[in-house]
Amino acid sequence: MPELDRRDFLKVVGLSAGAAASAACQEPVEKVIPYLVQPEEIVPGLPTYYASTCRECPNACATTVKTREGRPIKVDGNPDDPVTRGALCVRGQASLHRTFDPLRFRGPMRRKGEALEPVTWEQGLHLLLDQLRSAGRKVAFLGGAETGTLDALIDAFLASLGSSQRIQFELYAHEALRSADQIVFGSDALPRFDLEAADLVVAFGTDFAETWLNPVQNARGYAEARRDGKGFSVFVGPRLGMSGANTDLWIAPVPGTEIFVALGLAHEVGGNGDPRLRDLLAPFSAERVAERTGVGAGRIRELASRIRDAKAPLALPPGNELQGTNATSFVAAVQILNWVSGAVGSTVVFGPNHNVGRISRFRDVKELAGQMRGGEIDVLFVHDANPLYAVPAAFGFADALRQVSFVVCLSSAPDETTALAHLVLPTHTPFEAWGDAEPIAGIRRLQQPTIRPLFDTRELGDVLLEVARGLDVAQGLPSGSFHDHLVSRWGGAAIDAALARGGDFRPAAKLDVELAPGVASLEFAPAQLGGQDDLVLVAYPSLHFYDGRSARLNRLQEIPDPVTKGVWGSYAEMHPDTAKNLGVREGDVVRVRTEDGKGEVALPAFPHEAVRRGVVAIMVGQGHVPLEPDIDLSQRWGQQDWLARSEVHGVNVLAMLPGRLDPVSGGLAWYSAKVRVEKTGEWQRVNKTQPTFDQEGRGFAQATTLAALAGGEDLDEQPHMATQPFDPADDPATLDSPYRWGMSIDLDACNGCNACVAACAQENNIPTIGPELTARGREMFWIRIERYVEHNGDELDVRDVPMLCQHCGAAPCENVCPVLATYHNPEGLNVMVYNRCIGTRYCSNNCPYKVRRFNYLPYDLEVREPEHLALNPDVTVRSKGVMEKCTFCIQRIQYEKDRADQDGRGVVGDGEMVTACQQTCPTEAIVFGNLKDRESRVAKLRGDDRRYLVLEHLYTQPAVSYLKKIRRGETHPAGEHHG
Amino acid sequence: MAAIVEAIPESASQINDDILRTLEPPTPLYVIGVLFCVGVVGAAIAALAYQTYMGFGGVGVTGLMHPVMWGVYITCFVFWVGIAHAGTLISAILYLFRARWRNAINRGAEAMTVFAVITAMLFPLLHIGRLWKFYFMIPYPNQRQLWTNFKSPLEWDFVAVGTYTTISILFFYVGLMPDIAAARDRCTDWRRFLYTALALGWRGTAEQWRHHARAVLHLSGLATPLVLSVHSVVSWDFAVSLVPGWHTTIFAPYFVAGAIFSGIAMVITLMVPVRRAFHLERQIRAVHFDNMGKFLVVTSVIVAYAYVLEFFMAWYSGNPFERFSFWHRAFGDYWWATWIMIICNVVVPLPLWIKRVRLHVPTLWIISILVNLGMWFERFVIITTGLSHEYDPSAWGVYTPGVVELTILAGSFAFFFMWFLLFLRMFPAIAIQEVKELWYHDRREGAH
Repeated sequence: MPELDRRDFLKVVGLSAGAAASAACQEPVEKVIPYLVQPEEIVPGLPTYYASTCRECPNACATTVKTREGRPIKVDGNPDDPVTRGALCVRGQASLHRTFDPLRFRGPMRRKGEALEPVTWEQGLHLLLDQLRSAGRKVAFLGGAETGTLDALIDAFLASLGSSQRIQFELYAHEALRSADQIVFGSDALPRFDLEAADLVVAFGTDFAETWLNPVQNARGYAEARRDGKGFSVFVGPRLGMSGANTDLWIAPVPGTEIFVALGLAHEVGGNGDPRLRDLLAPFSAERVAERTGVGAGRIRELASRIRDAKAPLALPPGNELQGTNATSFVAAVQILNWVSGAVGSTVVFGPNHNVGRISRFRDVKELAGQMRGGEIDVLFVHDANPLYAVPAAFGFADALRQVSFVVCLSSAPDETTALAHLVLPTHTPFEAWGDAEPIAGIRRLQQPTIRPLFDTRELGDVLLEVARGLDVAQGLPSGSFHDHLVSRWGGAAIDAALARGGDFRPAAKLDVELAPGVASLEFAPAQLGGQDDLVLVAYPSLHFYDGRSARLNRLQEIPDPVTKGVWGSYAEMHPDTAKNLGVREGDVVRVRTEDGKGEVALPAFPHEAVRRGVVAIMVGQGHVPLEPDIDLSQRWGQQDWLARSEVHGVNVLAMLPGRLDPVSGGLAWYSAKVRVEKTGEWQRVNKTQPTFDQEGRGFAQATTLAALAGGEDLDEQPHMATQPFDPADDPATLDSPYRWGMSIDLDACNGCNACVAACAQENNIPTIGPELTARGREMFWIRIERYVEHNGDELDVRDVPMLCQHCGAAPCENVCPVLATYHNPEGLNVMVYNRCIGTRYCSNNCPYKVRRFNYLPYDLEVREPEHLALNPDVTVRSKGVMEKCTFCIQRIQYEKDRADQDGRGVVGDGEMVTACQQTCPTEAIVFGNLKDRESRVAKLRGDDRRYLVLEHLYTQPAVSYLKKIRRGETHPAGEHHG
Repeated sequence: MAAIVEAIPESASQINDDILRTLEPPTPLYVIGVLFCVGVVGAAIAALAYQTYMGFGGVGVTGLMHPVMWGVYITCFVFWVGIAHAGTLISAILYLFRARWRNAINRGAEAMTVFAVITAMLFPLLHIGRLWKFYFMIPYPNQRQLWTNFKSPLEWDFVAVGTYTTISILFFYVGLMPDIAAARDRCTDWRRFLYTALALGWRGTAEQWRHHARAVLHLSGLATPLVLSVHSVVSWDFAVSLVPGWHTTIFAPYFVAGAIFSGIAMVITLMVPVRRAFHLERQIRAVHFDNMGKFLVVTSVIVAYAYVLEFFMAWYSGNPFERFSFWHRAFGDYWWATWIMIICNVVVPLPLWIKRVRLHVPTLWIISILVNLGMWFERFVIITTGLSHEYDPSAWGVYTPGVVELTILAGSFAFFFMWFLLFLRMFPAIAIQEVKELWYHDRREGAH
């Protein structure tokens, strides 16, 4: 037996002790795994872009998806697309998070008692096939709007099951537009409203830059048409929303009578001249209209003369918030106005039309509910729709759904409807799936996956094909996979070219329309506002949440609303005078109740001036029921409930809408309730990020007038402080560099749509911190849209100022940092060195623009699987205790400089370097570039007459210059839109 | 207790007995006091641990926010640095001016200075986002060639307060040395070893006394400018910035006067109970209270003048940002703090113009406590009102301190009192040799 001698003993002891010690202090292992087989198109460290399509709303905008090492990290508009031309909205920018949602279904689930339990796909499909075999095939399919290959496939699938019961459920289905066009022009098409061509716009409560038709296209066209002080626009409606705030004149008639303003204008513009319209319009002289609407006859005449004088006037039909029981006739009135003003054919163009013809009318949804209640539906497929949230409670959809013996949800994430599903077969998110869309006739867009499916999900088309094959009814359906079918529909190999471009963009040709004889039969009535109470309920579509579908995206909850600057909640908006009459102040919880008492919500009051007197406005989209997560949250989540979405944010105003429809079009009558508002005595903080809309004469948001642009005297809005001129290109730190980066922001173009905020957050890994921390003033966004309201006589003059780091030449933040964690780099950028920062926060105190954001808590640790996949690897994820702020997208600057070097050009040319905020801006309000290049756009804009610098007197020498908003309206006689 | 009964020590040994009596075994009340302080400090340490390490911890557990990124912690820092002024003022400046009445209180005041400045030094550490990286503030040579920013007032602060701490401790220690030797000679228990070590072999020879006197003189000369410089530098943390309400040239003298004001008030707050508890009526006499009361009056007037001048200049400058800031200070979200500050610092000390009030110990004591309160709020008002309504109206915000901050605020007082209480038991609270010197003087003068 071998003896263990002393030396060996010591060796063994030493080795084992060392091993034990080293094991104890080991960091968790993180593996960096290289590609075993290098994919051809992926170079590690360099981005790969794919053209695809955004599916956050039915507009299906063309996008380019930036991927890094096989995962999408950023979405932007596709510059080749003729409609949006490279821009994207706030929802599109945030849409990535639908794919990286930690609460997504990880695989099929089956109802067992109250809860859902995981099953395999085989088990799930087996269950479904059993049901379909026994159900007598009384099948219905309820989904969102589909316009491409999938649309046809769903029809074929239903046909193979012997059913045609299909609902394309969209809350904003534009029923009235389609019906009115049928009556007025004999075509139920939804034409293009060409804001770009219009020099005079009258919007009837149309949220054209928020949710109405394609808001990106609208916002872009509107901004283009108004460059350099051109154009004039009017907003008619009870609430001056984001789009309305960008018009020049606000007319707020007596609620319900907005239709008469359109008719009065049509009458005055010259409707009398047309024999087909003479009788129709005869009762609507300016005086008669003035009596009914409370809008002065003089003002109507003046506006009519403006319309007559305009080269290309355009009246926009009512947005959803003004669609009442008279919606069809209201749209018809607006279209008649368009006809008499000559807009039809010039700014109202039939062809290419919006492809909404197959979207179901709300009436169909109501009928489906009836059938379900009557037991006529055995199996209901639900895909990409959440009727339990979106259908007003008055229609009893929840009860109806309970009568369906088998509900299959083909959704990717849990929602109100999946909570009642018998079976969940999770489908891919748009970033994982193939697809195509044709939202506008001739504009066909392709959607391609940019990441491998994260979880055990399948393509919807493949599921349908498999079900049909399982039932042996697939004869009429394509063979092969959905992808094969898509490829063949796009012409086989020809699809490659389309994929590279993002689709096939050949807008359909323009059609001429003529007044239809049916127009004579129109009858015009005010919107019926049910109830005897004094206040009218305005439920307005949300820029961020659309019809509520995007409310589950935390980033959209956290970005402040463009009008109220509210986050993470709902509030009852009312005029300060109305609030005074009710005896409520901001934060007082009020109970808003319809007359029959069926609809009731309680929410904090938020008085502000952009709401007409006598109106209560509540945003659509909030108040989703809390989820019952099916995964163990304690393992995955930090201490904050909002991440698990077990909290309710705000209230669902849809639930309280009375169940009225517009009888002609079958659309939901949004604008149809009077409500009682009562104080409850409770108080709840209105969670918002901006305490005041009054800029106290500090010159943050400045305006000029048309007269000043023509050489007259300018408004005097700069604080009266001594200033000293400087040239940012002379920044001494940049002497040896060819660059001094700078930015110009045009307040006349900026509409406050928040797309830049979302783009910046996605590009720069900005954390979402939740409602409690936002309420405590910890919001993290590097760019914010400040909203200031000035008064021009009686008019509200709303100004939006994107505020971001000004990259000052003499930056106050730099001097005071004791450790040089923030300093001026040789390109004039004010840069942050996160590693060096110790968090004294002096820089933030000393920043007069208040654009620095501090990591008060370890927000980086709150990024949960798989959200971390959406992080931009080029940007450091900040840890707790360090300051951060806008970097002018320094990672992009570096990338462009590298590219210029590699190409041998040496210097980045003008327009090559584009910041994230600039890239997505639909109005092109932001211009970035090199101030040392005297020919660059940004350098030229610095010499513009409208240029001003915020807090110029402090001599911080900001590199961001602003162009003043242009005040086009004149002061009008007081008291006309008072209710 | 009415006016002060004057009692003169009868002999030099009685002075020793009186003063060193404080070192005798403690009363239960004392033990309870120390334990209470230790408990509160423990709570503050727990709060700090929570802030730094626990789960979702970070400075975010405080009420700090955007835009008010400085709050209670920096308020406490400035407050405690201010408190630290009285000690050096009494020890060094009054020493140089030969104000002999200082002798009975200078030891306590110096101890207070040391503990206050140590307490103050904690706050920047508690305050910064990454306290484990605090050493980035130290300009030390390193391979990464990183250097500190000497343009930053915070760096000046770091240097100024660091220097002040060093000098204060040295000054305190040098003055203490002969008395430690005296304690060593009387002591029989374990403390004897401590005193032996700390006395550095002091034997009281003429040579040692000569060196000692010279050292005290030189250190006084060194410390005197520091009294003025430290709080001037601290004030520049604010004055050098461009925050309306901070950016003012009068800040340096204003802060120094305020510091002396609060420091003297704290000396009174401490010495009154010490005098009572340890029966030091023979050492701490009417002249002390009278003179300290006068100090309070004078500095109160200077502070009041600064308040008036701030408001006047805000109006007179015509600068709308300054005007708004001061309007908001008086009538905005923090009006209550502002009026606490004005009432406590301007109105409350007014009765001290009357000698009877100065000599009425309870009244003086209550006034001193209110002055402390007022001076804490002065710093709070300057910091928070300035930041909460700065230039950009869209980024205004109102800060409310959180539980963690308030615990640490309480803990800072407990920390300070804990050290002071321990000091009272461990070291002679009054400078024996200086009191004796004074006593001999008085006797000789009396004999003439």
